[in-house]
Amino acid sequence: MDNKVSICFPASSEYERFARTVAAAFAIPLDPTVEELDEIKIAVSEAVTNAIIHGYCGADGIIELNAELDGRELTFIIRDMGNGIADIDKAREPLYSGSSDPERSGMGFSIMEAFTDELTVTSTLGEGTTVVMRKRLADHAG
Amino acid sequence: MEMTLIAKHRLIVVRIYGEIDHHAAAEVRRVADRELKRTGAVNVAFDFGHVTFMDSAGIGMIIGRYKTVSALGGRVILFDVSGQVERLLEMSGVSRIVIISDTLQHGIAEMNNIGKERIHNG
Repeated sequence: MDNKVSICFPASSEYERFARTVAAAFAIPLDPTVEELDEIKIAVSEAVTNAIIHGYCGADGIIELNAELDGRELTFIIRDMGNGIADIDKAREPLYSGSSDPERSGMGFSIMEAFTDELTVTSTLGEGTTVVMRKRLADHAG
Repeated sequence: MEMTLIAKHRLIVVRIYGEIDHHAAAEVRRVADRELKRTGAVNVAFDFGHVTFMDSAGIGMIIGRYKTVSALGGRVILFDVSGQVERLLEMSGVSRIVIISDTLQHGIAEMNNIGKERIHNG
């Protein structure tokens, strides 16, 4: 493992920006492209937003963000100790939203999937959800 | 966020600054809906020229406004959109239901053309 950080922050919407900024900062030493950086920020933002809205349903809670670096492969682990997801396959369906809020697009998992190389979601009802995203950055010429 | 009314086109223009995530989208939604109601406008244009980031919460916000103005017979215009935002608009299919243009003027022109076509064809 080349590098590893772990941070905990409150499950509050103003920390969404904090979390994706930390993730982007972690990736910076690899000199990612602008597009790769955007993809990391969006994917992490989606996972953290899910934890706030679905994991804790707006209630107080703690979200854990782990970032790991191995060569040019980044791993982001977003963990909440909230409600958990009853049916992960259903939750991962495009446009499915587990929220009653009509303003939720239901695209979170689809975006995480599209913008990373590997997405794993594990969840236990009443215990919480863990999202693991791996992203391999392109090798630089020279 | 700044809001301008163009009464001639029954259009409000909302200039968004910074990042549109779940946290910020709530404020854009609140302002846009309030101004639509207050002014009696039926069309809304979002100026994306100063938007530096958007995730799926922005998509949800746009779809929400699309539903609101569609019920009034109006349109949603997005202009001066970055490549990152455009990619999400394409992925989500939002690009097929709103007018995306480089400038506000072009967006308004397209909105009025579509209106004319409808009258002509209907």
